Amino acid sequence: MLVLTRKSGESITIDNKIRVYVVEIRHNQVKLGIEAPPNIAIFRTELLEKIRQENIQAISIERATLQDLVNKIGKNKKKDNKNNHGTD
Amino acid sequence: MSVAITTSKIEINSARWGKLLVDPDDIIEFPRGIIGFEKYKKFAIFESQDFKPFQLLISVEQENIGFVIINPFNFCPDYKPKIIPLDLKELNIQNGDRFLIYAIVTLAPDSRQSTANLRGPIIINLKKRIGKQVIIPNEEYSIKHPILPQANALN
Repeated sequence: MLVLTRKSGESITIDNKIRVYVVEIRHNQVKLGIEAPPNIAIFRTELLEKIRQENIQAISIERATLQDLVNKIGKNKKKDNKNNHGTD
Repeated sequence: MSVAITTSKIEINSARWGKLLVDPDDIIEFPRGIIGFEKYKKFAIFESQDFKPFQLLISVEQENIGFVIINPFNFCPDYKPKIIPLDLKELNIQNGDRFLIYAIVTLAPDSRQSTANLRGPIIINLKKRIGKQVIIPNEEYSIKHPILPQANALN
């Protein structure tokens, strides 16, 4: 990993296409500004990582669990329909 | 002389779901795969009365790679994901093109705690058969959105 030290207002340039600015440093937070071409996606790393982990969990499917959930949704729908009927 | 042309279906033998048949024309290309599973680029959607409202998104290249998906409007009727221009471009979605939105479901051992990922929905350009799992900037939507209203889930 390349590690550079920058002061507020300074920047680094990646591949002549992406520029990362240190916009502000306050307390223990750094505000970064990123200029990049529109075909580059930029995310907070932990968001991407959380989604990756969620997908890995989602892949282990127990068919019985799915069936159980389907049944519970069915029950909820019946309950809602029952509540929607007016009194005679 | 007339010639009958039939598209032969592709057979997927899934340990979990049994034998599945896919029409090659129904295969959806995921140029970027799915997050965490980037090397799988071809998927198909399967549905059955047995597990409605859920559907299955299964890789035609590796049958173990499959996800339970659901149309998020089923339980989040006001869902308004912001899809960034980069994603619209990769999905080749032009003005007025229709697309499908699905959320990947994570089943929990107690099925009532199952959740859907509303922060990273699957977008499918139906006409061009291109799909992508996108990450939306909306901070109000969760990666673990409960599918059942939690009040009812206690019943």
